[in-house]
Amino acid sequence: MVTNKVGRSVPSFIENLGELKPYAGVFATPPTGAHYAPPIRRHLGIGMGAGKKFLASLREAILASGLKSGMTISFHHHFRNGDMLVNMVVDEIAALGIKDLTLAPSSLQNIHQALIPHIRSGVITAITTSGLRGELAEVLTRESLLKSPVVIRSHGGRARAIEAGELKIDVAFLGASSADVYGNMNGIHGPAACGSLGYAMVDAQYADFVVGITDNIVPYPALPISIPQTQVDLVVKVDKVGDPKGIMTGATRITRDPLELHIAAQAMRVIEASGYFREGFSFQAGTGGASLAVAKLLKESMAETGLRGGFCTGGSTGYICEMLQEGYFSAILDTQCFDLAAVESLRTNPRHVEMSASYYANIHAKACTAHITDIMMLAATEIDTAFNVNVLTGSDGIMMGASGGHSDTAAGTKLRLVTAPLIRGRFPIVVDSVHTVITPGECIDVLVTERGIAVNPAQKTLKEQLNDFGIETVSIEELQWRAEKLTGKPEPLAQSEELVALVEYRDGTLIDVVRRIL
Amino acid sequence: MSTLIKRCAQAGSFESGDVLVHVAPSPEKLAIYIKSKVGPRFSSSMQESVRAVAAELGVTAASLEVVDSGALDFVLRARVATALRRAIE
Amino acid sequence: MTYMSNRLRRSMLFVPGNNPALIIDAPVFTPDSIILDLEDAVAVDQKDAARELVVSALKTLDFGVCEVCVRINGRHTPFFAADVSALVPVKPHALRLAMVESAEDVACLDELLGRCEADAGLPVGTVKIMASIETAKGVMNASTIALSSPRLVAMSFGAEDFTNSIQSERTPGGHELLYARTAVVLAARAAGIDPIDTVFTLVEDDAAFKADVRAAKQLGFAGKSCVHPRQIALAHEVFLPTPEELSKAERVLAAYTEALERGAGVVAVEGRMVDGPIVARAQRVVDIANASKSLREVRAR
Repeated sequence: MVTNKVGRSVPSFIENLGELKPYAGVFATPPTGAHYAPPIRRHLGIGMGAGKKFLASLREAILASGLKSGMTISFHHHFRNGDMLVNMVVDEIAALGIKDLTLAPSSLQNIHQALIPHIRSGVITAITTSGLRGELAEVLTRESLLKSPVVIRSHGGRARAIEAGELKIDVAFLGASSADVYGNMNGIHGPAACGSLGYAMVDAQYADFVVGITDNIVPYPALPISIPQTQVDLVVKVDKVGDPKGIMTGATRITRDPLELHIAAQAMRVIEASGYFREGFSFQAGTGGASLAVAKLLKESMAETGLRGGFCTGGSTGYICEMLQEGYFSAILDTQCFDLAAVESLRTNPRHVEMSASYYANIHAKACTAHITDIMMLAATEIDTAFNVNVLTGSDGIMMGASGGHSDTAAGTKLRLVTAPLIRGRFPIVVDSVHTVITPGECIDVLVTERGIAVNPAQKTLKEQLNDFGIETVSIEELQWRAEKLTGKPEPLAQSEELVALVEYRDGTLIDVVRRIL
Repeated sequence: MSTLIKRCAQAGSFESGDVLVHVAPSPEKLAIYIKSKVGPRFSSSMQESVRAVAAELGVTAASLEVVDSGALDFVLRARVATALRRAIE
Repeated sequence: MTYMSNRLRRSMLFVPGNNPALIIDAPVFTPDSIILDLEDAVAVDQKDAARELVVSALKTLDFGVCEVCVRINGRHTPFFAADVSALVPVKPHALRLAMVESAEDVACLDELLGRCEADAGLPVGTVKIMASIETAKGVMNASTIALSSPRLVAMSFGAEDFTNSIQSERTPGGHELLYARTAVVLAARAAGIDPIDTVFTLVEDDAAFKADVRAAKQLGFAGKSCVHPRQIALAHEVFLPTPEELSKAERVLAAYTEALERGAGVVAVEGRMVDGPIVARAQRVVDIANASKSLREVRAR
């Protein structure tokens, strides 16, 4: 074990994973090597006549893909908790007697608890993902079931690893809500519509073998083309790729919770004081209750003053799309749609476009939106006195969230605001030391809670700006004190030395680990 | 002379931020069972608080069952006091 | 001698006394006053639990700059005495008594408070009283009630029970309340205490709430009872002086200060005589402006 730049003890070698480099700073570790390239092969011409790629069953596709034990398979998570694909494919693979697989989805949800028996039986022996939730996450945090710890990667980090060949995908199983028999796919039309396929694009481009799976075959060509036929080896139709109810809601509502609205109002004042709220500003809303409420406050202000924004990035919700429609923003660069209103906007508004996870957040992309954005709203399960942020593990040390785009956007955005209630379920948000570092403190500017605002001491100018604006700021230690005065100090967690997960920073270095919870 | 628990009683609720405290007579000692929705990291301090409130009211023998939904200490103390008082009257 | 309050009471947030989460969050919204309610918001079989919770909260929590009051159960309920004796040792700023109909109601509480303060070793007069007028009889006795105790700092009006007592219905226009509201304002102002207007329960309707608060301000109320945190900021907005009101108040204060320095007997501002009450009012206007989140907001409007 070595100590990395955020003071965390991380391994330098793990069996089945190889040599590992410790985190050395936000942009400290330069890239090496070239882009990975999948093998060139002539088209297979299987099944219904020569030159046709459309197969009748998943089973046939798996066999045709050449999938063998020990290989790596990947999926995207655009169907969220309505996803049926991962479970279905792994069931089929297990039935074929294939095992010892590395599972590499872009993320995992509650619904993937169905994978637990396959993990126990050795069908899946390694996992890399952005996030883990529910029973699956609980089991993987409490038991050492895999041959190596789970590798947690950010959205940008996963794209980087795939493009660099560090995460070599043997077979990508990519779901689409619409596809044609030659493999053009999108997430915009069809009963399981999910919008942007941003997290599937990198897999489609770099996986050795790509299987497109849909429940909705449309006449050729399937338009719009989010994933082109030139990247897809086979197309399979199944009964259902996803449950619409679990995929998304009709429209994301702005929170009515008075506490979240209060936090949003405080955050809005910080934004106003920061100087970044100016003509053409770019913005990423995040997914928490307070962050979308900030979008509403931005709109109200912009309606009054006539200020207009530039692009919005990250994921899209109906509210942001409406702001685009009404001219408050100039474009949405979208990696993931969160509701049907956003899907509709993607379908109809030419200024709302899909982008891949690489375009969004890959540190080694020639440019990514995470490095260009002005204002970013971030969440936190915990934040420590060095401003390091945790979004992966909860107060019980169990994995329950995702690295996501957090560390990617925090590295490159100009104003990084974390909004959080100071206390969550009896636990203070501000701690001495976060249980898991996802984003290093030097990437965080301000913490906005309902009981006070703390500016990172490294951001002296910002602190002055806030104070000049009449915003009272306190030290983060003061916020911790305020929280503990109410809650008391929790006892430390009981954990073993055994590692159940490694947290890979966006550049491939190790920023932290997750230990098994007893 | 210690205060006698005459009957079973309870106070509080399952609402987030509250506790439900159930008191029953016990022959000899103070028996405290805590089940918390937020895990074990506050259980020692909760034990201490329950004991302290019982002591304030002069109760040395009772069975106290606490079901916690993330309550702060002042809430726990209030609910324990109310449940004990209801069991004493 | 009545107590002249320097406190602002633009917003008084009602918080159900048996609800831990709401009690903890109340100070976050910075109402001028918080009313922890042991009365209407608490079921009869939970009066003891609520009382214990509020006492525990007062002992432990820091409510910041908010005034903390407790609405106790009425004089003729079995909970009255227990409420008062449990609360005095933990020193709430004030106790709010509902359904006050006569000076005697207040005097009774005053006397009980005195005994409890003595028992607790506190100076007599530590805990203040707020009287709530909610019936026809209360309205008719408003002026004597307002003068009934040196502890009295505010008098509020409760419309729901009032309309019941006059056997009428509430209407959006509020005509049926006009005399009563005015009576409460007059009685309170004559006695030098704060009149507080009744609650507005349509929580979703911000525009209607603000209109209601504007009407209350116009009638002379010092503040508004609030049932939801979102009403607090709105009420504060309404009570914020306009730029004209603020600059006029500043001119009055400047003229008064200057006249005092000169040793002049009479002060005039823009040709009109200015004396004690006008100066006090001007000071109050400036205080309210300063209390608002940012002076900028007022300057910028």
